[in-house]
Amino acid sequence: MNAHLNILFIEDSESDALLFEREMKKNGFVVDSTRVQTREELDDALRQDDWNLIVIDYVVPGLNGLDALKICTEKKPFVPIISMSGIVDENVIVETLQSGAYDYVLKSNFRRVSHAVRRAIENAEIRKKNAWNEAENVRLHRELALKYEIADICLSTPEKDMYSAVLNVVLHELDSPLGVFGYVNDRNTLVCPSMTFDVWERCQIPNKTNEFPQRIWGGIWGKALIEKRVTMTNEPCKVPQGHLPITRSLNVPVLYKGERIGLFMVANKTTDYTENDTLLLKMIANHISPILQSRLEMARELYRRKRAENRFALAIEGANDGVWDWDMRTEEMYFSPRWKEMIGYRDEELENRLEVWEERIHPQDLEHVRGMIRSCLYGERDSFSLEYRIRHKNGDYRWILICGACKRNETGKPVLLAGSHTDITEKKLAAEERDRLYKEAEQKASETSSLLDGAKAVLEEDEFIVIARRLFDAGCRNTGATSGYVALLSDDGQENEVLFLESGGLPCSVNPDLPMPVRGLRGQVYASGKVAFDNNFQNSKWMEFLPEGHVQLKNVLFAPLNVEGRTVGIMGLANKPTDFTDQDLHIAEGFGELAAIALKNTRIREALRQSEEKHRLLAENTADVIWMMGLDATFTYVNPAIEKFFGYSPEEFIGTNISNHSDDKNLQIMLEVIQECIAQEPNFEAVTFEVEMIRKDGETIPVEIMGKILTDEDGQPVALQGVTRDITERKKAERALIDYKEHLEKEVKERTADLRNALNQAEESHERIDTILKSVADGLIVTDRHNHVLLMNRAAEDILGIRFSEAVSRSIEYAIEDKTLREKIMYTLGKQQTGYEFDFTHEDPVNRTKKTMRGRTSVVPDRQGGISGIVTIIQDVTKEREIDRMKTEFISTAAHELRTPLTSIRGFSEILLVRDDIPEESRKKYLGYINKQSVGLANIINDLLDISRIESGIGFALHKELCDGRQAIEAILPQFQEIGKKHVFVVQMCEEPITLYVDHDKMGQVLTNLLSNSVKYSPKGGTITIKTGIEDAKKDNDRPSFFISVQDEGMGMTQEQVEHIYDKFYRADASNTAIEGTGLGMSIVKHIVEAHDGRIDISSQKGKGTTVTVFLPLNGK
Amino acid sequence: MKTVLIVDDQPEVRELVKVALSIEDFTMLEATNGDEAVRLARMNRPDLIIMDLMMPGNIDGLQATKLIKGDARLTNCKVIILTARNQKGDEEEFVKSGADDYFFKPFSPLELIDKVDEILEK
Repeated sequence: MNAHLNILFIEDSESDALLFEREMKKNGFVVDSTRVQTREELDDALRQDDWNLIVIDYVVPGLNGLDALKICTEKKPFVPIISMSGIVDENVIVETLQSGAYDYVLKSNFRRVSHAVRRAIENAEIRKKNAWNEAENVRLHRELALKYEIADICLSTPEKDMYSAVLNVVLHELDSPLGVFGYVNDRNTLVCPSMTFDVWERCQIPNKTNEFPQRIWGGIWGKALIEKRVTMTNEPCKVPQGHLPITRSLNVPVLYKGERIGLFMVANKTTDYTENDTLLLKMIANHISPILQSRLEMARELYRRKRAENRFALAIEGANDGVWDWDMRTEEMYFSPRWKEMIGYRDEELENRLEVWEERIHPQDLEHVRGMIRSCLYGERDSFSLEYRIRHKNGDYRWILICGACKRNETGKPVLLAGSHTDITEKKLAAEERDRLYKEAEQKASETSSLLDGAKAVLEEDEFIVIARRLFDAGCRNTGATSGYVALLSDDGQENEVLFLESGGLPCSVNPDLPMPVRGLRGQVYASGKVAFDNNFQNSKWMEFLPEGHVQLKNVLFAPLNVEGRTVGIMGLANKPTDFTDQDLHIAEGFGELAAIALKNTRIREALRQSEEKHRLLAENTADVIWMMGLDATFTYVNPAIEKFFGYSPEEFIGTNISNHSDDKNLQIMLEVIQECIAQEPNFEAVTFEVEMIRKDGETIPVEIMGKILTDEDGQPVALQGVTRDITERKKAERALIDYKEHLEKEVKERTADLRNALNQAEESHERIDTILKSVADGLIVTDRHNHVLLMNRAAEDILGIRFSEAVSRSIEYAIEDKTLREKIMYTLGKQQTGYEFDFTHEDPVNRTKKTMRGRTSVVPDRQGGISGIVTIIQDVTKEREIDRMKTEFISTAAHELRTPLTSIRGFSEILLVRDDIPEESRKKYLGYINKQSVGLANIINDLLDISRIESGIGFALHKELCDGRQAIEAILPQFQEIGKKHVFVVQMCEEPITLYVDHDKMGQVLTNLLSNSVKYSPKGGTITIKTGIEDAKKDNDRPSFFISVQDEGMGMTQEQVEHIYDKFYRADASNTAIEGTGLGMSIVKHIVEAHDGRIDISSQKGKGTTVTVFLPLNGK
Repeated sequence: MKTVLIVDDQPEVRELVKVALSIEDFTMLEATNGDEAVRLARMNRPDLIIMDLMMPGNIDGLQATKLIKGDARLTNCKVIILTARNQKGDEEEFVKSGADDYFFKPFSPLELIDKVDEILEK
């Protein structure tokens, strides 16, 4: 542990920082510290590198503690952070811990400091190590994925596109906009099939080319080729006139067995090229080197073959063939001197005889040649050509293309056979060579693709043993081995621990538990770290190490697993039907490398897991007392912390009852809490309370107890568990605070007395202000600059659902449930703004209704121009907002209703105005539409005016007068009888005259609306019955009322439709557009009737009809 | 001759559109709700649909427009929305439905003719 610490305090109180430091020094730390309290100071401080610890005060004026935490965790992720706070509030603590602080220390309890610091530092070390491991893991994966991608491109992309595809990957990886990837050909010329897009086009230089012969290799890239080494610069390069500027450049030659075969050049990255970039590009160059080499070899061979073919064509053109003929009439043969020269003879050395020829023909080809000549002589064909072998003078066979043709006389009898001889040996050999090269290339391709299989396994799997098995299987597949195993070196380095073994179906009776010492051929592999094989194992010196009963081994190959330069395991392959070859060695080497990568990954993961475990153990070390007790309040368990707090050892303490540790008063409290806990629901959350307990030495200490009931499977309480915390320091602090406040109050009082000369007067005025404040209807909260509540009036108490006495001096986190309000207050303080105005939703704690509240914060300045606190005023604006919403809704619905008639009016009138080809009949019709819609529009506007009066609360001005109800009906009815011609109107009126005291016009409107609804909603006609009468009082103090009902036999309504009937703009069957209307009628009817102290009753049945009854008070004066 | 499908639940509005576009210039089809509009569009593949939005029935004009515009067989069918709806966010929704243009009620028949000519010429 680093006992010398450099601490950064973000803290406005020097004394708190000093107290912290003193506590540290007391515990043996050597401490240097710096204290900052503004954002600028913090930024400056974080530029330094040597902090061992950061301590953040939750409340620093001008720098929000959480903001500071965020900045620190971002800039110094591995420096441990401890949050220090004067606020005893669990929410604050949780918030800071979640934001990245490792631990918290209460200003009231510095005793925990050294313990917390030790843990935080230890934790940060672990995190740092984990992060490094994680980064390493990511890097390995990325490298492997990149290799895979490049190999994939090389195998699957045609030659002409390969260079640009690879270059694209490289440019992307190295974040560079420019680049070149080229190869070096036989004449030492760098050929670049791929240069980034428009490099050349944008260059204004003469003689553009993508071939660069060695004599012009220059600059930093030329150096890379000539000296066969990486060159890099982050300075602008010298370039020819007109060339694109090169600001930075990195050049890596591609080497194969020390020969330069290609070049990667990347340039103009926006930041400097680093050592990592160099390593990455070198890795890519190494990886691509064998692939590029095989590509180049193929290309060279193709080029050579083309030239050879050209030569061959020249030879024929120069009549360089041998010539032969065979005269049938004389049976004479002739071979030209060139014919003979081809097989190494001078003209005079060979006789012109058939036997001379035939005896030199390759025995396998003789029959073929003879058959061909015979078929020509017998007239089956006129000419022939075929390839055959003839023996040279030196004993080699040459490949010859023989062509022949037959000349016949008029009877068809052959007279002459003649032809040519061409030496095609070279061509044949070239073809064989080509086949061989193709085969080789195929082999290389299969080798690479089998390595890709392995790479995939490493990328896809996590478990080393799974990967190893896949690699091993691929290894067997690709080499042809039938048995083998994968093993890791034991921790002591003495033994080979087999992960799995494949016997290939052969019997093996060796006890698998026997140790496998590191010796023999595998010992050699462990020692050298290199692949080794023996194709004659049966007879090798290694046989003496083979235990009895072991599988028969014909041949054996071992590949090492090398991790960080050490061989930590091997893969063994054996019993390939044929011998192991160099190619197998190469494949096995590749698999060994992959397995090593996988092993390393697995170990890193394991290390991560173990450190997490360690972390967990650390967390279990707590400074508080943890206990369990039976339901009889007897302790059954305590942790060792008990000794520090109560002076008992755990052994002493277990078995005692809480009555042994408290006085009667506190015992009573605790027993009540326990009873409460037991009585509560199972799984009820823990309760926290404060009591005083007695230590072993008799001293009384205040403690905070957090307890929880434990239940059995049936939910029955069986025990109690909890945490007890010493809060002496906190209590002291609280006491000090109260004392201080009292002291202040006293001082204020004295001063007031001085000023006003009379204490009574002062109190009177104080009371007056208090009374004024309390009676203000708006909620008022005053908080200090630590966000503690100083004052709340009655309205605020109601709104927030908390009494002032509970909230006073407590954090707003405790007092204010609403997050928006809380944040705005804190924000006002943190940003030193003058204030905010904002809406927030508040749920009434009693009846659960949601209310919209408007809050306003304003700063209370102190004498120095700083902030002494915040005043927040809260108003209930639910009604205002609701009215706003209704207004908007009303306007939009009304506008829509007006558009419909206006559409017809505007449309048809415009047509009538501009078109003179409208027949008279249509003109009338359109004018009719316009007129009808204008009337409709006027009605809508009247309805809207009524409704808006109703809604704005103005209501109706009723002009009531005495009138006879029957007369009113009789006056209105005729106009409906006119419209509703399909309907039969039946009127059943009571006999005696009925005197009503109503607004005559308005009641007429009610009746009109009811009747027009009946007509509209019974389009098929039917009877409409109008009844009037007196209904007797239902209750004693009710008066009898007059009723008028309108009944139709129309379409009726469902219960749901009836419920909405009074809604504005509601139309019972909006889908039936034959029925027009705004949907305001019934709403207006209801208001009119209610204005007359009447009521409406509706009964309706879907498909049967509707009855609406209006009740009005009789003589309703 | 081009075919126009007029979709509106109000007979007067349909008549107005018909008169405005002149019966001689187009073959006119009429529908009074969304379902009918989709059915007629699929059957007759009109060149243009003038579509009201708020109509009774299972689907409203906006849903009908989406169905028609999403139908691969009706790619050549243009849709003009003609609606009394004009609230914040409506226009965005019209465009999203795939409609080629939109027009608010009350409207000028002359402007509608221009719009129809413009759309059909595209």
